[in-house]
Amino acid sequence: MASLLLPLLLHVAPAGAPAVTVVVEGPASAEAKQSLSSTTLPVELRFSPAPSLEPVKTTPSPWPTRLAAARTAYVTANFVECLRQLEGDAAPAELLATGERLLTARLLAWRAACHTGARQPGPARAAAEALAAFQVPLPEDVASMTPEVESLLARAQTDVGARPMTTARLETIPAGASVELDGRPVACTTPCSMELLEGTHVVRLSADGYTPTWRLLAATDSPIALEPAAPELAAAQWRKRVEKGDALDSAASLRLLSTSLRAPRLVVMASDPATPKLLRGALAVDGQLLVRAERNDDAEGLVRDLLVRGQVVEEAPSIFARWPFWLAVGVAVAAGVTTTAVLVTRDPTTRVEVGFQ
Amino acid sequence: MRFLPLVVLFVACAPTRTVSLTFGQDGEGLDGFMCKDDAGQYLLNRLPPDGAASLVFDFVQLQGVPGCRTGQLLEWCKDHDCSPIPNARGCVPVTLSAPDPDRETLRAALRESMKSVRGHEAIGDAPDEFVLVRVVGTTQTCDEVRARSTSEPLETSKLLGCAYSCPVLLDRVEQAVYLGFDGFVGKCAQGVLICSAEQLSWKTQ
Repeated sequence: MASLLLPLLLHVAPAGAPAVTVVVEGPASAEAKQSLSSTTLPVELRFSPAPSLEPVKTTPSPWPTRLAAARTAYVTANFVECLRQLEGDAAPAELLATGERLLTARLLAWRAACHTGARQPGPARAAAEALAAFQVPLPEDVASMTPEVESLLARAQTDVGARPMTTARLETIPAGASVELDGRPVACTTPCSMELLEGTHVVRLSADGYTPTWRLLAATDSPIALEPAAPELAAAQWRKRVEKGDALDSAASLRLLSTSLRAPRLVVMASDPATPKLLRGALAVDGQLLVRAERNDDAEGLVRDLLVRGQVVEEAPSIFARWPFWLAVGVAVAAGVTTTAVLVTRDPTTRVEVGFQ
Repeated sequence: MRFLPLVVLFVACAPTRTVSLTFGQDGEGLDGFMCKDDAGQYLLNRLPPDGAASLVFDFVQLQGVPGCRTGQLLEWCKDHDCSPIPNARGCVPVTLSAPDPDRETLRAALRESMKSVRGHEAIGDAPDEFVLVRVVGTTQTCDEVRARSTSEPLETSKLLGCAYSCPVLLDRVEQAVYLGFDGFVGKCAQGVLICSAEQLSWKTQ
């Protein structure tokens, strides 16, 4: 009977079972993986390591070199070459979008200087006013420029500072993006409003799970839609959060891990060195944290609990709700009744022999 | 369905019980083999010189459960069929001792003779009803006995003795079945005649 009922109690992952990515971290990870490798859960478990914590190598900016070349050209009165080194209409905004306020200040100051040297007062003033509007401090390079340039820059600071303040409102889809204004990690979290000096400003919007973007504020009347981050970027954002001490199973961490591992269904399990047997787990579906659970030294039970509560799999119906059970019970009862009837009604064989003593 | 063979095996492998027939520890049930006729002669005197005889085992149907005493049995059998069950008769050759004038010596000799058939199977599968187990001694051979229907009487002139049990359901018997003979007198040939009849009833020769 046991052999008949046992298959009813066990699940076997059917063909086409949903795939679930599992990330296991902590001292009990090896045991947990071992336990899960022979699981009877009706899903396909795919083990994946967490993204590497190695820092991402960034390519160095060309601007320090170009600024040095512009300075050399300026000193030798080669203003054409100086301006050639500094060309690029979007360069100041791009530098500010990456937080390079000093390079932006140097770029705009040298543009003002080279245009002044080239007898181009209009562009020189525009560069000086842009420098003032971005409210970046004047660079030390100003000491290498002519008094005329210094005067231009000082006048622009005064003029721009006298402009009226305007209110700018920022909205993003989704909301919750951090706003950096003119390279300063200040401002606010969308949706929000800011008081600004009149003029061009650069805002950089960043949120976990989305590709950072920047805009010239004048062009941002409507909500800015953020693009989901690519897996590599999500991995970098996840690394950043973990390095800051964020929990592996936090909602943000799960969202970034889901993206970086390309895992629509993700289970993260972790244990602490202090309590290595206690497994904490969380399930995220499509990047959204659905449930958390804890189990003591029972990885399979923990995953089963998460998948059932997260409705990734349906809880196995009670054995009493399955027809094979009642069929087995019926067969057992019939067999029992038959056996009893046979035993009660059968003709016992009694041999009679002579036992004369 | 895989358990069906097990059930069948379980039912089929029910152990066979064995019930013994006995004349008692001291042969006290052998009185029916020590009867004398009206002339005062032992029925055992009918034995040939070599003592060859046969013991005939019958299972007499009763169609109910009457009392054990002779009178009760015969009274019951007035209204019921008390005949040996056909095809349930058994027979075994035996060599009996010539009668000794001393009753206890004869009893002891008969006991020894009867021991020679110990272990003989009276029937392989006992009837599933209350029966009276009967053993009749005769000088007829077993072949002759087998050739005769149970509805016919054994040859009365060749009868040597008889013993019978109380009404018993052999399938439920826990101990040995005692065979004996109700009689307080030596001249009990009439009792042997009744005991060995094809239908239990009062009989006169």
